[in-house]
Amino acid sequence: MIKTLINIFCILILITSTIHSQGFDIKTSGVQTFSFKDDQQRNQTTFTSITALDEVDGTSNDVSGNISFDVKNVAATLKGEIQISTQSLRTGISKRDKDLVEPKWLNAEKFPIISFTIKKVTGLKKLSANKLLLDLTGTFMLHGVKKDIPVEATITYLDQNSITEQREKGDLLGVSAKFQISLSDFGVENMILGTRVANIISIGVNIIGTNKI
Amino acid sequence: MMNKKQISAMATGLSIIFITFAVWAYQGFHLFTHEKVIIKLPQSEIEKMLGQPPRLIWVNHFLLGLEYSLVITLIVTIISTALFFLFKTRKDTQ
Repeated sequence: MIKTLINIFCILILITSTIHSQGFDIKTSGVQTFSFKDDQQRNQTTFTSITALDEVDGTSNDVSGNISFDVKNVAATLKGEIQISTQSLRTGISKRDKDLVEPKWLNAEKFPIISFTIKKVTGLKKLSANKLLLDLTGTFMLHGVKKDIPVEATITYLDQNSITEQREKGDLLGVSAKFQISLSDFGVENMILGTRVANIISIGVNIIGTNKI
Repeated sequence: MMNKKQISAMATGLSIIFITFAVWAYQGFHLFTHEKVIIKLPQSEIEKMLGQPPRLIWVNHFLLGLEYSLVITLIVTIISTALFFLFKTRKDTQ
């Protein structure tokens, strides 16, 4: 009788720990570090500005950075930084691309990097064994100004296999994140802000990294 | 009364302006002229497995903006007006 109760108790503990697991349920274990530097520039960030007068869609394919975490405990161990080259922003109009990096806008010469540094995970939901939905807080740096912002990100882990090797060697991590920033919070002041260019910019990050660094 | 040449100059000018704004409207009422547009690339198998949306790339494609439309309108208006008076003067002289 006592043995049966102990067995039930152990099973309950196992189920509870699985439900409240703060990481992936995959073969790989331990701390893994992923690099997002892609020589083929397939990693991408997007940005959108919508005003009554105009909608601006832009991209950057010069994305780099590293993320590391303990596979079984992502929530407590996730850290890293993603960087974008300010010069790499494209909007489909060459004159606007040049204006964007001028001192009156993002001043790429003085502030060549836009970055996001992870500070902590504020929420974690397991979508599947290899996919997590994270609520993050991190420091976004633009125009030389740093500000903490919330970010929603989905991360997907794939152990190395014949399909992943078609892209890169090593285990792969897909990160898909979206958030909004207010340009005026980052010291970007311009007369046309709010009319032709929105103050609130929606940003998307869609990147794949490898742990074979 | 306008003579045939004056009517022709005005009709040509108005037609060019109309076509310009028709093209501008057809191409999406853009404020500024675009040299490139975004298209979505088909996702690879691995991108789907890693939850990535379709990658965006820029391709060369001219989309007329309002600023060029207004410049064209201004130039056509000036030329049409000049021709209008030029033709009137020639008729009067004859």
